[in-house]
Amino acid sequence: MEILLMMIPISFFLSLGFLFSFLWSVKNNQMVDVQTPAHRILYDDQVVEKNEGET
Amino acid sequence: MDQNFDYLDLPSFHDKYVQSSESRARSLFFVEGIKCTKCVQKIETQSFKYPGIDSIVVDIAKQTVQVLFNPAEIRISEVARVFQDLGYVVTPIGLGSAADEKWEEQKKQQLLRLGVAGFLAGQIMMLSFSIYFGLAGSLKNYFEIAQWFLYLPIVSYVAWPFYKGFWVGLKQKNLSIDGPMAVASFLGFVISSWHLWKGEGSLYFDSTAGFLFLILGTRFFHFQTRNRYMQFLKPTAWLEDLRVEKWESSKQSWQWIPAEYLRPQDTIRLTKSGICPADAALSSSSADFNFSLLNGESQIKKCTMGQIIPAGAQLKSENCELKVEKTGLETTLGQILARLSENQRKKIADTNLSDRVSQILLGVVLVIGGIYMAWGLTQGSTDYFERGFALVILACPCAIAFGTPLAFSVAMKKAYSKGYIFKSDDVFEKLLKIKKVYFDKTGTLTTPNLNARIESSTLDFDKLKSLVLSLESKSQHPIAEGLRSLWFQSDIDILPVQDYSVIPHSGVSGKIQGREYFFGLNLSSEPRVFGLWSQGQLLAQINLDFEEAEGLEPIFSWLKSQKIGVGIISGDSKVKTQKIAQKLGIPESETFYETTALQKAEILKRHPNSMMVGDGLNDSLAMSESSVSLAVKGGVDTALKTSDIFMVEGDLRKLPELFSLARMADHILKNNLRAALLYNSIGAGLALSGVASPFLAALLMPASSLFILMSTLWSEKKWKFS
Repeated sequence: MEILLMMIPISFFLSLGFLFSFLWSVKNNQMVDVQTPAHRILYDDQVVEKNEGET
Repeated sequence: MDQNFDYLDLPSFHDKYVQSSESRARSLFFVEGIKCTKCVQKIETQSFKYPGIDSIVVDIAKQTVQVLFNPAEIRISEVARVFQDLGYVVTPIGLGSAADEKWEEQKKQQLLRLGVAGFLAGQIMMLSFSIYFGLAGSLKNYFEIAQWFLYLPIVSYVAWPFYKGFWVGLKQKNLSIDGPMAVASFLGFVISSWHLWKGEGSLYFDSTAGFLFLILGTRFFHFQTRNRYMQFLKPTAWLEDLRVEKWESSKQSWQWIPAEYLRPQDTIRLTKSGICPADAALSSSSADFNFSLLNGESQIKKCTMGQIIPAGAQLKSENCELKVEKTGLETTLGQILARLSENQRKKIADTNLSDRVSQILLGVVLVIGGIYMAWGLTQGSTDYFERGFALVILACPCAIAFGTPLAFSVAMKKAYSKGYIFKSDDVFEKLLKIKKVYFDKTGTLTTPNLNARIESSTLDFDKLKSLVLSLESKSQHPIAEGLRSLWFQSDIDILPVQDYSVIPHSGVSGKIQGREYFFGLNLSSEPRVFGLWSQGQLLAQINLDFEEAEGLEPIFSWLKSQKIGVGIISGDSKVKTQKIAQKLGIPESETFYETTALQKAEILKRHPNSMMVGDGLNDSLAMSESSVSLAVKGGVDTALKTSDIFMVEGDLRKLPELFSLARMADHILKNNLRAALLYNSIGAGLALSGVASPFLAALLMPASSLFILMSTLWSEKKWKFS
């Protein structure tokens, strides 16, 4: 049972980490549009390079 | 169709549609028809081609495009033209209206709450489950105290919307589904804390936290899917997006302004086929208006000076001036639209079967639970109190509260992916009761392409074309539109027409180069053809026919195989209507021809449980009388104001899918209801007999929801569309 003393805090902090990254993504408007980014990654490579060059 | 965007550069429009700071400006456009990766790529990569555009960001779900640009280098009208050149229909949208921002904010709040709830529920369950599996001693004690701490944000922050909903419901003397959630969350905390303090008895932190999380999750999902379509239904958005010329006395000139900025006593000028943006008194001597948007009648009425022209009326004659009396929501149309959207909201709130079931169940559960708890208190025994509480947790209709919105959200989402937009949940239920489908002919069963055959003519073809097109030049009738696209070439002279007038259901007349002409139906011929007369003399006869849409026969035989009757209601002549009816196998008794808008509505009134298929605006009256209406044409916004379902691609051949969708929604809903009822009765039995332990509650709660979720997703995936 002593192993719980280690496992519980680890899992607690791990999920706390997930929670904060989720809250962070919500606050940074990453949940405003969850559909288009999935399409965007399908662009041709060429365009992506150009995009990076320009911005 | 080419739109003219020059008006966007005028100061008042610029203020409305462009948000700018120094050299950067932001604008938002509604771009119809963004469907796939290709569209996203095509649109977003435009920013490389146009200097001045910094970035273009597409939102495929909302069909919007946000553009960041430098106003010194490129004007907003040019930006709009970029998308139009790509072949899209573009509408600028006012940026960040208060309602939109509120909605985004609400969504964010819900997500944050959901995230916190998920995290806490997971932690609590981990701790409680280790106790269920045999943890004892001081460690058990610590784990229980940890659960209490973890539950604090749940009882205060996470459950807050339920307390609020419960309270609002109570104030309206309404037992809302938030009730058991609020009661369970709060009582769960009180009882469990008491037990923790005493050091004996059960803790309910895990089961209450679990179900609050699950309910919040489905609610969010439902809120999301529904709101996507509801945004088309903002009552005055459509009125406010009109634009109009206003007399600026300071500048002594006419200025284009957005209708939103109109105030009473303003003087405005309408041009031909312009739509009146406010209730206004006519100050020109006379003008012709079409009130089809208001009463569904596409007849043109002559109005005289001083008459109040309601917002939404379309000017059919030349320019006229008006004095504004009422604007926005105060106009007749604004009030109708507001009532419509209010009805809509009410409709969504409580009409469907599952809502009624859960209302009853909720009352029963709360009453029995309450009696048990009160009995327990008077007896001084906590046993009965606990049984009552376990009942509220276990048998509360949250499985229904969970299953219903889930079923409709999934169905709406599926519908959207198939090209249908449903206005509300109850349409699915109504669709299943449909016994008869009535089709409008022109524009629904026919294409906009016109075929013309010259039967006889004393004029040469070019002269005939020139005269007819000149006469029809002011008409927006489908026949006029069809003739224009069929005959118009740059070498055809369009001559000025004087004394132009429309004779409804007959034709148009006017004076060209001093001679009277009439073009319209030749009532004495059979089959009816169109004739061109000049001063009583028949010059030419033309047979006009819209091309019939191809490949519709299978749909009609399919409908018959489903024991759904079919009918056709047309304003067109007997011969033409019967011809198409025969071809499609529509019985004689269900073929209605030469009907007016009012008669159409009358027919639908006589046949309950019938569906009207037509184009959004023209058939609005008939559509409002039908049990379910399907619009196949027109913009989403206007179509959804008058009809229940909008078919994005307008392809009638996909009609069987629509019924299949309704059956799918029904199948999932009934499955979920059955599962929930079964679960609830077992749960209630266990709770009242005192067998239900907190462990069982914690296990059954998520298990039932998970089961419903899996079965919903499974049914949706496996559903075979006919």
